[in-house]
Amino acid sequence: MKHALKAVVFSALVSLGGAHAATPADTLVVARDISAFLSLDPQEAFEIASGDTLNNLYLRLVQHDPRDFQKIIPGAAESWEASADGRQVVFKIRQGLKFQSGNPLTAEDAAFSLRRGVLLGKPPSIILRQFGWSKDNVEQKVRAEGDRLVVSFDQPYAIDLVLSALSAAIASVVDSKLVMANAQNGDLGNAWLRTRSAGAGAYRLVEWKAKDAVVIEAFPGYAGGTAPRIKRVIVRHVAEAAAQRLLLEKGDVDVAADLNPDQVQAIASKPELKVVQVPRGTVFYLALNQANPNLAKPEVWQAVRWLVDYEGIANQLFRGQYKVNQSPVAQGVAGALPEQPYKLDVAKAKALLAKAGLAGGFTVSVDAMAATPYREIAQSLQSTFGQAGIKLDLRVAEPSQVLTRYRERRHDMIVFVWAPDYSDPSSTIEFFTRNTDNAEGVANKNAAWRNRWLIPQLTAKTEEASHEVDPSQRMKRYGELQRVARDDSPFVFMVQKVEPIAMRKNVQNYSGAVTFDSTPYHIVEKK
Amino acid sequence: MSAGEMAMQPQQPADIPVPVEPPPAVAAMPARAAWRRRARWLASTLLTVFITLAGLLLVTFLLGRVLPADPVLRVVGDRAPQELYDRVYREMGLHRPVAQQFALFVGDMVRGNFGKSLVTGNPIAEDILRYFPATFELATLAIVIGVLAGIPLGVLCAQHAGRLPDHLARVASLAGHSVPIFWLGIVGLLVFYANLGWVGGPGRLDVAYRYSVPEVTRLMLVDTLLAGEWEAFGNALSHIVLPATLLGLVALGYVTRMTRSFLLWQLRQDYTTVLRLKGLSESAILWRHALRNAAGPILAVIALTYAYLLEGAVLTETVFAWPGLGMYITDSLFAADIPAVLTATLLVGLIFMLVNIASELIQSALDPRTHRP
Repeated sequence: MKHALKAVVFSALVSLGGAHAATPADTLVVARDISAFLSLDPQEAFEIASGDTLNNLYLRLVQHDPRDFQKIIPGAAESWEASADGRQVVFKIRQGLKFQSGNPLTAEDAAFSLRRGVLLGKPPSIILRQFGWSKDNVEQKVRAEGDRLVVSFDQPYAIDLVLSALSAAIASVVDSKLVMANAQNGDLGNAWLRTRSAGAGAYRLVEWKAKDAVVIEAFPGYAGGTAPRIKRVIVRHVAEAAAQRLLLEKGDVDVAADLNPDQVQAIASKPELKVVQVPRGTVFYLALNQANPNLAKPEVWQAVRWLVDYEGIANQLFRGQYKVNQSPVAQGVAGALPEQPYKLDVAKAKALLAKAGLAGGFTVSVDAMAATPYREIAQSLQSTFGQAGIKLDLRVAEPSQVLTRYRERRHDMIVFVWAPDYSDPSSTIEFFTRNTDNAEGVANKNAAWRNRWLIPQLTAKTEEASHEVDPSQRMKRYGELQRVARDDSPFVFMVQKVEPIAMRKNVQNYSGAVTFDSTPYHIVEKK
Repeated sequence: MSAGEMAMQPQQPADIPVPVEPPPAVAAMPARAAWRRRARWLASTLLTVFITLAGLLLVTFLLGRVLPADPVLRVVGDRAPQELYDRVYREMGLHRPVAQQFALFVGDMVRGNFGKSLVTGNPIAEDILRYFPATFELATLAIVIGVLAGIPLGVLCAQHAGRLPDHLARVASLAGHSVPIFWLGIVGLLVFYANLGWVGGPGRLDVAYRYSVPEVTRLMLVDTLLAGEWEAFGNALSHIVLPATLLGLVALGYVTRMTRSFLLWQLRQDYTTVLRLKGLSESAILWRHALRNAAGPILAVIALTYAYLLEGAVLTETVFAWPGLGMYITDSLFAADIPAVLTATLLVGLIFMLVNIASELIQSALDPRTHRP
């Protein structure tokens, strides 16, 4: 007992004396807010927080080149061929791939995974359903033939779109034998897989403790790219940005993912730290509900475009954590428009308002989530709109309440966000330019519907573009649709997110791209 | 009123009987009557617990219903297919009348089926078993610090009431609970962790130790000891010492102030005059007589403070990345994760009552005049 006491006192003194080891050389520790981590089933998960982890646990059918995001490279499929009519794509599955369980990865696994995505019908299933796949037809539309995976569609689709969609998490190839061995009540193994991994990615799951940590370790049999250099990656839940910064400065974590502008500036001068700026595809926009007669006037649409202080929001308010982007597709995603035709011009806006018969201004509410950057953007709008006589009533509330109100179309104006699921412009553009029915019970509650913007002609054009197979024609069509959304719609696209990822200087190749699952850990090194 | 605020309210001294000599009636009571009294006490306590829990359930349930956020969206997200939305809507029982939903909910609770958290996807009971130990460990250490420092400080204040030591201690204890703990936490980390390197940073354990210790009780200090990992124990201690001290400061503030005022009240009683006339020193009167007589109400304050700490101090937990109950409840609340909020609230209510009942039992053991069960 006496010895035990001595040991306690001794070890307490040692620890209080400041014996702080840096993180182990073969371990990467990331501090991040992972409170919104819901599931690790790749055919279910649709959260930003879990994206990176999933990308590293599973090998997808095809993947983005970690060094050149726009380029699609082989994943589980080594090659692919699209039919001339755009109604079929045949993928050749690579031989010799193994799952973390030791089971071989076959075309049957690839087919199973895509079908599973459709059959489970979870939120990301919209990515696969856009190809006309449903619970009833997916068995015929997605087939394994020997070492080949054959996917077919009722309508033609561009190969770029197909590849882009099949590089998303839902196209992760899961170990069908292992998953089905753990299925219960026809759930295709969903309950089991939510907290486990059954993939062929560079890492396998060691443990996930909700709101605490995710731990993954290198899979020695990984054949989807270079062998992982970092043996273990620990994503620690640290919700408070100030705490993340301190941990990073002390070397108790290698990467801090959620620092705010002040903290990024504060660490810029530290020689042992660095910041990588990653432009994301997330776009923040202002939407005008057409149910409000003032907001339904096209002159008002035009006026508000000249009342946003784009530069001020991006550079003064957020000091570079957002950049100006005035069309739906963010810079860095295929098909983005680089032009920025609008700036703050109160006189021009006033003239347009006078043309609309609203020279005296009017009062209208704007909804925003009680979170950064929505609140700050709404406040900036309040000040600049006020200069033209539009009095904005800010309604700032919890995110789930704001979303509920938006979906129930009870807003006037709203500051909201769009984040694409994969790097192709189609789903983004369709979210804004497709609506032929303003009724309540529609299945597709997209932005056009939420703002009661009825656009049968534009919808037809969007429809045509989605079946355009020729790559250059396709981009041309999407460019035209984007210009309508930018210049002649009740939407004002303002900024896109630029995420600063702060890390220790010795961390190499930790990067990211427009999507939230674009950080491959297997190329990361510490030296 | 939160437990903390309750603890801050000056206790009415009216229920503190003035002891001169122990009343003999208790000992003389026949055994049968004593048993009957015990049974009555037990029944009334259980009834109180039951009514309180039922009330708590009803209020929390109704609050969950009036929240203008769609709970289905939380599960399926903004862009789920309509059929998934409808399926989850039914699974959550939202198509039923509210009264029926409540009845089903109570039925589940009674059967111990607390449901699954919408956010973590785990059974809520499992979640709570995971998060509560972290809070329990922190709160227990904090209350120990608060009591060990707070009572002597309170005695010191009473002894030197109105003079310099009293003023100093009062200012210090006032500062302890008037400075925002969030700010104190950040500054504490900046000074003791980042600059001086005396303590561990946010989190319960350094990454290097994290996997060397098997989870048994989920109390880091205990688990590391059980595993015989002295270095890991020291590391866990270095992580908990700062948040526990900060929370201990809050506890210290209450305990000091209440101890002081209870003692001053005792010092105004006739029996202390008698003791003084008998020639006892002032500190003997304070420590041996007044403190013993004030023990009951002080204990009540300690119990309330402890219960308050056990609810989980969300700000402290956030700053120190401490995966505890406070953070769990707050996250669940913001995520409109109603089943998790309901269950955790119920647990907090239960803890509160249990701690109070325990303090009542200890009081009655200490003071035969309040001898009830």
